[in-house]
Amino acid sequence: MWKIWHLFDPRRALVALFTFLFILALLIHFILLSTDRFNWIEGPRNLEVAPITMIESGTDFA
Amino acid sequence: MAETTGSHTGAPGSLTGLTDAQAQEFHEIFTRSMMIFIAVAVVAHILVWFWRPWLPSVTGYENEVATLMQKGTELAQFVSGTIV
Repeated sequence: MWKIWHLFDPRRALVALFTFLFILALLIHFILLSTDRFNWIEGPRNLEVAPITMIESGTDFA
Repeated sequence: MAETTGSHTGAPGSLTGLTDAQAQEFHEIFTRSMMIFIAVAVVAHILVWFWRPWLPSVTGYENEVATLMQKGTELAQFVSGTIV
């Protein structure tokens, strides 16, 4: 397995790996941020809670 | 002609010019670093799974807040006589 370094230059391999992994990680994090469920900063957009308004408006028990 | 392609500095058979010892030393460090990186990633994925699992069922994710809201609405409607 270690003989792979006879095949690939360690310096270039490391640079390529770091670049690839960084871009992949960035991509995945941004994809998650663009979702509703996995946005860990502000949570879901457009939180329209219709049921609550229904409960609040039902006050006349006459 | 007798040796295969390699660095002119020696290390016959090596396209990168590393000796066997250098290759093995680098490989040791590379493998250890890679394992640590993967371990951190695995821990992070476990934590995220407990926060929000990412494989929904056929009907979608079980959304507790939405279900509570819906049940609460139904209960309020039942109490007020809108639903029987």
